[in-house]
Amino acid sequence: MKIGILSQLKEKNLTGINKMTVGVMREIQKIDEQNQYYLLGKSDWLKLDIDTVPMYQSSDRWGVLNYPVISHKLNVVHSYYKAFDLHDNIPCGKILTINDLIPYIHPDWTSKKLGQYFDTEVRRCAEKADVIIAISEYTKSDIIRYFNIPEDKIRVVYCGLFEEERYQRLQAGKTIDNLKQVDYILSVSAIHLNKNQEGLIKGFLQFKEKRPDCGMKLVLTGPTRNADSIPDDLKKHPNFEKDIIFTGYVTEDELIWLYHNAAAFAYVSFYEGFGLPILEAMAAGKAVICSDTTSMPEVGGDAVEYCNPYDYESIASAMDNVVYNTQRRKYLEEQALIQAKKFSYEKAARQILDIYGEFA
Amino acid sequence: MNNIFDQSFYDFLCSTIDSCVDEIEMEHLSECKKMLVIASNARELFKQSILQIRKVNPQIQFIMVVQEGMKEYSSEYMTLKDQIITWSGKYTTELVDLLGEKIDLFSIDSFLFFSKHLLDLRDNNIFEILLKLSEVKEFSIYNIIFSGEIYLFRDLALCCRGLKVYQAMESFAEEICDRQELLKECYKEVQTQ
Repeated sequence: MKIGILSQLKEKNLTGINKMTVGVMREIQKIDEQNQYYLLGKSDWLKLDIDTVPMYQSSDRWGVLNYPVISHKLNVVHSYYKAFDLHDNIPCGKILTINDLIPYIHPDWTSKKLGQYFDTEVRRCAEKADVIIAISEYTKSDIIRYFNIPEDKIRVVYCGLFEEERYQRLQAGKTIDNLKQVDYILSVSAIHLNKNQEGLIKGFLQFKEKRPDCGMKLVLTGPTRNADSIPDDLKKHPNFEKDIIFTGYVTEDELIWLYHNAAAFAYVSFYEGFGLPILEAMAAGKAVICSDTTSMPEVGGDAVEYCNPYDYESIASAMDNVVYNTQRRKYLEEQALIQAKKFSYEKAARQILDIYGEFA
Repeated sequence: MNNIFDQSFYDFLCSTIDSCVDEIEMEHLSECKKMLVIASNARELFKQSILQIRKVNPQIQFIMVVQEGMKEYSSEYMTLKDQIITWSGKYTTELVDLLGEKIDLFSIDSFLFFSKHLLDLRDNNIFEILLKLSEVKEFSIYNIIFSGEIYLFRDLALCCRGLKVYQAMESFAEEICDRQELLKECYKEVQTQ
């Protein structure tokens, strides 16, 4: 079969969706010698050894693919993100991966325009798709609930860890000098409202107030994370300047170093479709504090310290339990490595190949 | 070639369109003297791009076309020799008329606009503006995309014609699909191989 792959827009550094595309495709290429794969649209930055079918799209609409599919006689189109349209009469299977419905359910966290895009084009693409891949059971339940999609059309395929060998202990990463002598809890994310940056900081400051002799810092890193996004009243807290550290942009190697040298990892997002940083921290053997909501328990299993992201006391208490209960922390660190091994792109690739096989 | 939906024609059309645009380095803009810029609401990208251009070309003069909401933000890093022109709503070819009233179009030697990705069909209106401006004078056309790369249009007219053909073929494909017997013809060559 000839299978067309549609991913996200070009990025300077690969994040989430493009990482999943590359992670899965690299594994598929190792095991599938029968099917031919094509990246739809200019995708050389993905650095996959796969042919491209050029095409031109409008960034504010779903992709209309009749012309490239007919010309190249594709048998299946699989989009990892972008909604697309294909005429019903074209003999081509349609697969859409949905990571989450956050823009539809909470447009106040993203934008009204993105919410409308999910309500119209993503919804319509999901209705027309032959198979929908959800990256968690929670996302699957959202698709059923909000888009009224029949359950038997949706398959759950979990993310894996991109370049997982980098998270293993032997990979030191690149040192960040001003953090070498610092004990810190690490948090990695963007600054979207659902990531609950404010709650994380408030919870941490509350934890520090109860443990005034504790030298722990909170280190925040992510593509856009900086102090500008913090409310002014929070920045006026007497411990804010001293205990909250924004790293600014870090390279992938520096991020690995941050993971390996953290005392623990915290991810108290309100809402996730999967929760990739939780998996990354577990693969690095860290004790993880994370939210008990949405998809996160599917990733954390019994290997993390849960908290209520809407309750600063709960966040503070979870941090205290991990930092000061050495036995608990060591247990979580051991369990984290076991839990992390349950997720891999090799596993995801085999599941996706089985789905492609339904169209043969 | 069996029919116009043959892969060889598709690939030829797309390679022709792609050949009209080259990725370049920022240093390429060091010779520009007076640049007309359609501001982007991707504020950080817009700001960094302007600053980077000024770094390689401190003498450059910008004529900045901005939406009203971007006026204050843009003016923060304008110099005295730069000029801001405000526009409201979607950019149309009427912008060319306004520019003709406010500036000397013959003095412009370069044009810069921003896009989410290269050859974004959403930019059809910008292409129309550029084609109309090109009737006045030839100038270098640069496009910065959201991932930070910068491109030079070597042949805007051919590129625009190619994209029009592509979009027309897409519409025609949609109509062919409504007629099953015609769609089968498009796939016939596969069955006879």
